[in-house]
Amino acid sequence: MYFLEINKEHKDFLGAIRHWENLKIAFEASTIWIKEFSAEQIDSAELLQIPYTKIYELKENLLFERGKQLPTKKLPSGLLWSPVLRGLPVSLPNFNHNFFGINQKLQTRLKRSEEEKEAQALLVEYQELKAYIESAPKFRLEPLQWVVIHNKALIIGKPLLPLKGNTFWQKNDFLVPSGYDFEWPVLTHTLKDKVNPFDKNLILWNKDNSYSSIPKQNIKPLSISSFRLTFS
Amino acid sequence: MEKIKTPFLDTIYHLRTIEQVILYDKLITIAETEETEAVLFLETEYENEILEYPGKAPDFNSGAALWAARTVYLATELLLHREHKMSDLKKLLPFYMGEIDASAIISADLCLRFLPQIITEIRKIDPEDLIIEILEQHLIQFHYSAIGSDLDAENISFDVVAANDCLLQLYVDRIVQRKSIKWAQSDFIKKQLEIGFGDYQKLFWVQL
Repeated sequence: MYFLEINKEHKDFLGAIRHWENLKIAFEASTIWIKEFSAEQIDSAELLQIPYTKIYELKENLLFERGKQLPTKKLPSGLLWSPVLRGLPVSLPNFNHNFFGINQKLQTRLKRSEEEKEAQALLVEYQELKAYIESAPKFRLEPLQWVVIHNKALIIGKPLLPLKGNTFWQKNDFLVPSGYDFEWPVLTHTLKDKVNPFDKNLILWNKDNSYSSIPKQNIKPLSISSFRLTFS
Repeated sequence: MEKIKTPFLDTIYHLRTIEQVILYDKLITIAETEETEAVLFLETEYENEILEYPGKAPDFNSGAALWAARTVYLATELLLHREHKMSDLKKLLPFYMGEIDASAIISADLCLRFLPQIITEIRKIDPEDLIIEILEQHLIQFHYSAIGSDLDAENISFDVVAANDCLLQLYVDRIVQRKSIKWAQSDFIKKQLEIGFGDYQKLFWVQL
């Protein structure tokens, strides 16, 4: 179990780890204590870049500075622990009345993402789907829904069919290509309010930053008969 | 109540549309005109159902469909009105005469799928009724319609099922739909289930 100690005057540096929701924070007269780091967090770049910190390990109620054999001190008693976000609330800067850059615009862009997301939708060619679906087990189709886009079929649900096609992961009503995320993920909500204000559509993003709106009411349960009636 | 002119046809029609058996009369003879009309009705029902069937569904087999409709109709009549001797029963509920192939099995299933429930009802009234044995023998031949029932499933043969892709898939689908562990025991079915589930068995059927 690791503890981090930092002087109160360097509080601002903790902004880098404020978003780790598992952390607990406590305030003493002149120092701040943080605990409940996970094994990955304690070695992460975000934490190591914070200056003026001391990291202790707690053994038998004694605090050992990291990598040292002798205890430095005892953990102060009577600390009041609270979630880190409550201890370090986010505050917006004051409104800047002299800012004239309000005409500036941000381009919505997708960029490659390292984060792995489970695919939630699959865009397949009609021919590809036809070959599979005509003899598909019913139980594989039942959890799925679909909609036709031009000559392709967008299949939504889990588990997806074992077919060749482009996969998408879902973020609210956005379907984003697998392996991509928005350049500014924070703005997703704002973007949703602009593009899909009434939650009536599903937004399918293409890798070239364009998107198609698919009315949700056009999405139907996938079944063999639904497929046959659509393409006959 | 006004007398219904076509009791058999009406019963089958209700069975297929609202899945309830309504009997109008103690009649156990079925007029030929009714039979032809019932076959026509069942054929349209069949056409509707095969839209949903995987692969190429076999052709409609009117003989088997009619035989199944008669069997179900007479079984319900006998469930309510028992004025017949045991010796008549075999005549009233004959075996299916034609070849039992995929086409016959799927066509007969239109009505025969309701037979296991009827047998359960008969068993509630009299567990030793001889009619149960006759009907169960029919179901052993047409075991696709009996999936999920407590019919003795040990000695059934899957040759006919395996010979037709459409029927095979329907068979497996129904086992999964009814989550019938008992019917999923044979090696042949297990293999088919594996093919269908792929990696997702836990997702589709946890208890298996």
